[in-house]
Amino acid sequence: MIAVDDLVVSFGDDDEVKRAVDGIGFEVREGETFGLVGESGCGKSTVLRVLAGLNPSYDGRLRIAGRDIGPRRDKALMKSVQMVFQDPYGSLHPRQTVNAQLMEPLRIQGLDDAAGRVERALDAVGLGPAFRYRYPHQLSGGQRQRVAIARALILEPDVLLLDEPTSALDVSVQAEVLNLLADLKAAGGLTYVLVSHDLGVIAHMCDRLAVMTEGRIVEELDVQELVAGAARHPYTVTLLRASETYGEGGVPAATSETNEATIPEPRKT
Amino acid sequence: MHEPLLRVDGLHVSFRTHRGLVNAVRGVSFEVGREKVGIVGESGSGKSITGRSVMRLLPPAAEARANRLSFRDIDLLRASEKQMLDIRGGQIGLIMQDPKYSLNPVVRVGDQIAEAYRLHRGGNRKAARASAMAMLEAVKIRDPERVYRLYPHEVSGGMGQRIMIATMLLAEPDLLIADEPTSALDVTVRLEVLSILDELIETRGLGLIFISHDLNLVRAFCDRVLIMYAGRIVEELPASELEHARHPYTQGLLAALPRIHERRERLAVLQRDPDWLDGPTYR
Ligand SMILES: Nc1ncnc2c1ncn2[C@@H]1O[C@H](COP(=O)(O)OP(=O)(O)O)[C@@H](O)[C@H]1O
Ligand SMILES: Nc1ncnc2c1ncn2[C@@H]1O[C@H](COP(=O)(O)OP(=O)(O)O)[C@@H](O)[C@H]1O
Ligand SMILES: [Mg+2]
Ligand SMILES: [Mg+2]
Repeated sequence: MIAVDDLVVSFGDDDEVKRAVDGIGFEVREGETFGLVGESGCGKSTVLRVLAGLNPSYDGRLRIAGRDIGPRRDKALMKSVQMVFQDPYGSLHPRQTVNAQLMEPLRIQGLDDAAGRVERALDAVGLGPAFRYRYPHQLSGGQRQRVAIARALILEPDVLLLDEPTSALDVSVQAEVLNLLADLKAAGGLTYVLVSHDLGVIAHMCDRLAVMTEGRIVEELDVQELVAGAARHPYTVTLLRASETYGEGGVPAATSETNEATIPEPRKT
Repeated sequence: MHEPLLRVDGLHVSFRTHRGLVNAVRGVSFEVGREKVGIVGESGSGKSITGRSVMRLLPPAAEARANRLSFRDIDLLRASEKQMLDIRGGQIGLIMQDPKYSLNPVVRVGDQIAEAYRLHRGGNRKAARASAMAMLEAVKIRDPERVYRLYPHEVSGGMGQRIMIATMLLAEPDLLIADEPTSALDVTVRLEVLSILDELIETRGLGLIFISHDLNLVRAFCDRVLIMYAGRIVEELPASELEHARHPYTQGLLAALPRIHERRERLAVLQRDPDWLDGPTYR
């Protein structure tokens, strides 16, 4: 469904170029849920933004649904790949009703039966028609994320790019949103790329995953392999151990700081 | 643990808002000795407001009352503002989620630690500098000379939180209140910061109130856990017994967690019962 080959994304000017994504490649099969994990600032969101067409300046090859993708995208492609962001507060327009925000992509795509589509999209994410005329501040965090998912789904995409879709939510709300995403996918026709810093979420949702550090993929493996302890790269092993430790009790002995010492804080995206 | 440092009995906090009175904390009671006590619950359950009540750092719109709120033999309800200034950062330290808001952006981090030292312990600049340097080493910063000279924006999240911990501990407090201290950190960095905190608390024999929305984290890190729901402590149990929680809310939170080694088709969804608002608690 998706094939990425030697993708490079650089930021900054001539004096100081930073390769946020430093030559990565991976493939996502149709109908699969593919996970991307790694420390903050390692380039996960940048990869998703390139796939979503939100970051047109990159090097490398991109194929989606069997087509080579250039930096400029046509309407059909824009429709076929949709993204859901981490922050359900920031990703919705504060002064527009749910209805207006769901209508917008339909208008851009010039699709008919807008009212029917809005109703069906809200229904699919478990929100009744009463939510149509609410504003974001009248919704809970979980409801906002449902609206964001509805907005991504309303164009009936093939690929949903999920960037930490539940990290701003309480666990009970996270469970609802993850179940919803699983149900939508079970209904057919969707491929997911899921970014999360929570290996529990990745293990629950994904078939395969890629582990990133500093703009590169250091390991790609099946979730079963990860869970069975078959990870080989030291970073994956550390990440798994750290995630298990605070799931099962016991904090390891204190160590000196790793090389994360003085890396400037990554920009919030 | 026998001699509690902090005693909270029947704490109520309400806010006057244009939509009426919001009861954020509704009759919370607990004690903390030289131990690690976790407060967990969903956002809005009243964790931060409870922690801030102890420090008397509530927003102006808040009204607090309690049968008792005492630290050692100090009545925190009646302490003067001057006394509170001495207690805050002196005897009770507060560590917050984002050190960026607690550190002064235009002062080198080392100088901030030294300044905190002089504020609470007096002494000359040279002694303060030496103590700051020693404290940076105590939080396992490898190159304290270099880090001393950095500005807050030049340090990573994990390093910033180490510096916060160093600053808090210089005054040699007896009690630390940490409000989501590692929620903004990556998993691996989070563990490093926690193990440092753990070691310092153990060796210095401090009491800790660890506020977090993360049940797993609290279970791994604390001795005892208080579970808050809608402004009340609905359950209290040793961290090692969390698996045997009796309150349906605690059980529901545990069941909602995705787990690495237990793949389930669907995650359990919390069915909130209106009865939890004022129903039985398990302590
Ligand atoms: N628009 C941008 N301009 C400059 N630097 C950026 C921009 N977007 C991301 N970066 C940098 O690229 C790196 C990767 O960022 P990102 O993809 O957001 O990481 P992640 O999602 O893994 O946390 C970071 O160092 C970040 O600071
Ligand atoms: N400044 C405020 N004005 C009105 N209500 C507030 C204010 N701050 C907090 N609250 C209320 O107090 C409740 C508890 O807040 P808080 O202790 O911050 O929750 P937690 O830390 O558990 O997420 C919230 O549900 C909110 O309604
Ligand atoms: Mg990101
Ligand atoms: Mg809070």
